[in-house]
Amino acid sequence: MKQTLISLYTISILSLFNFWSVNSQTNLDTIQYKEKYGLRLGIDLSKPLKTLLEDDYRGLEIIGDYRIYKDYYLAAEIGNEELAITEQNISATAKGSYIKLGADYNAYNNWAGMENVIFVGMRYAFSTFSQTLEEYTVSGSSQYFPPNIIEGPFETKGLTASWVELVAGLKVELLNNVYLGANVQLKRRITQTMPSNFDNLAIPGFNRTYDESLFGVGYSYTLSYLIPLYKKAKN
Amino acid sequence: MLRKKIKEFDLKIMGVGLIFLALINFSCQRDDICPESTPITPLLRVSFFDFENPEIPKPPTNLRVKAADMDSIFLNRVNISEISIPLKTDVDFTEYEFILNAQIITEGDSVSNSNTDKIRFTYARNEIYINRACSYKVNYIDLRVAPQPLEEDTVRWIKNIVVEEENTENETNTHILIYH
Repeated sequence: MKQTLISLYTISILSLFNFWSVNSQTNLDTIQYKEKYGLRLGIDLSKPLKTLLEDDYRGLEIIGDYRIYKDYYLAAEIGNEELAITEQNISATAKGSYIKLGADYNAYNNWAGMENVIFVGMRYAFSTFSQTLEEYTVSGSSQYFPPNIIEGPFETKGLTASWVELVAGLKVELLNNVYLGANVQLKRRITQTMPSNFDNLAIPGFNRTYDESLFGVGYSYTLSYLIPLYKKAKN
Repeated sequence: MLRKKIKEFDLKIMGVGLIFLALINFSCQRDDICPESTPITPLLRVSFFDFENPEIPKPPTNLRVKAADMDSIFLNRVNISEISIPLKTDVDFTEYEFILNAQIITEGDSVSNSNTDKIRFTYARNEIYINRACSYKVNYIDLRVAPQPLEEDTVRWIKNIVVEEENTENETNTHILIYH
């Protein structure tokens, strides 16, 4: 819920900036305006922030997209994460790297002179990671004997997972070529290898998993810089 | 002009709204509570029968059940022909005292005709992952029973013990039959 509030707040600020810039751009309709094409590179701000704020998280993600045609972008993310999951009776850590490849479509019809993005996109994602069972309590229906808590760590290396993502979000040009963005991701797992007699409670890039479900969710706040390569008229 | 601007802004609000909705939806998590219907570590089901008439269930009189190394009592002065007792999940054996004609604990010095039999249950443990909410359960395999040596001048009230199910994976079947 806290995350939701933070994200709402951030999104509001982002759209406010955007609204201001809308107001400042007027009467340019008659000018033939050229749009920038290039490579946009950046990072996911939420991951270093979470690394600072949360004891059991460490992560970094580099993002990039390349505008290939009008509203279409090739997009990729590459990252490394260490995620801890603590449930009432079990705790585990997932550690590893991931890559996401796909494309974005800009559904936003910009005013002349503006190059903001409200996009939807698809990704194919792949992760290699380790899953460490840190501690668990054997479940029994009787409290007569003291709880049997078994402490690890029991690490399984060399695990892999793949999934597809639906991404929706926005990127707002705050300063010239500097973009601040936010997006949410809905993920559906395709394959995964699991530790024997255990499960993947979290997967780097996928976030926590849900029992009996192939779906996962995620969000990012991005800061990126557009390296303009050429300009092309908007028709 | 203004109309177009409003339309653009509407689209933006809609986008933000969609993102917000998506976040709300997934902040509720359902699979963090272990449901009672999920089979976890089973209790050992023990049934008492008449030694003379092995078909007839016979509840022991005022039976007290406690683990030999525990101070607390698991069952006190019950008169039922079937009990379910937990086995330890951290070691391969559990010793229980079955006390027939147990006295009310506060009676202190009163003449006691209680009769204690000690039984050692030995087994191998098989830990099985259930899910994130229920963690692991233990199934006991190769269950064996051994009556432990008696204190002097007492008589065993348990005449015979039969292991009905060597592997305890559920609580639907009786695992141990005790004849007395």
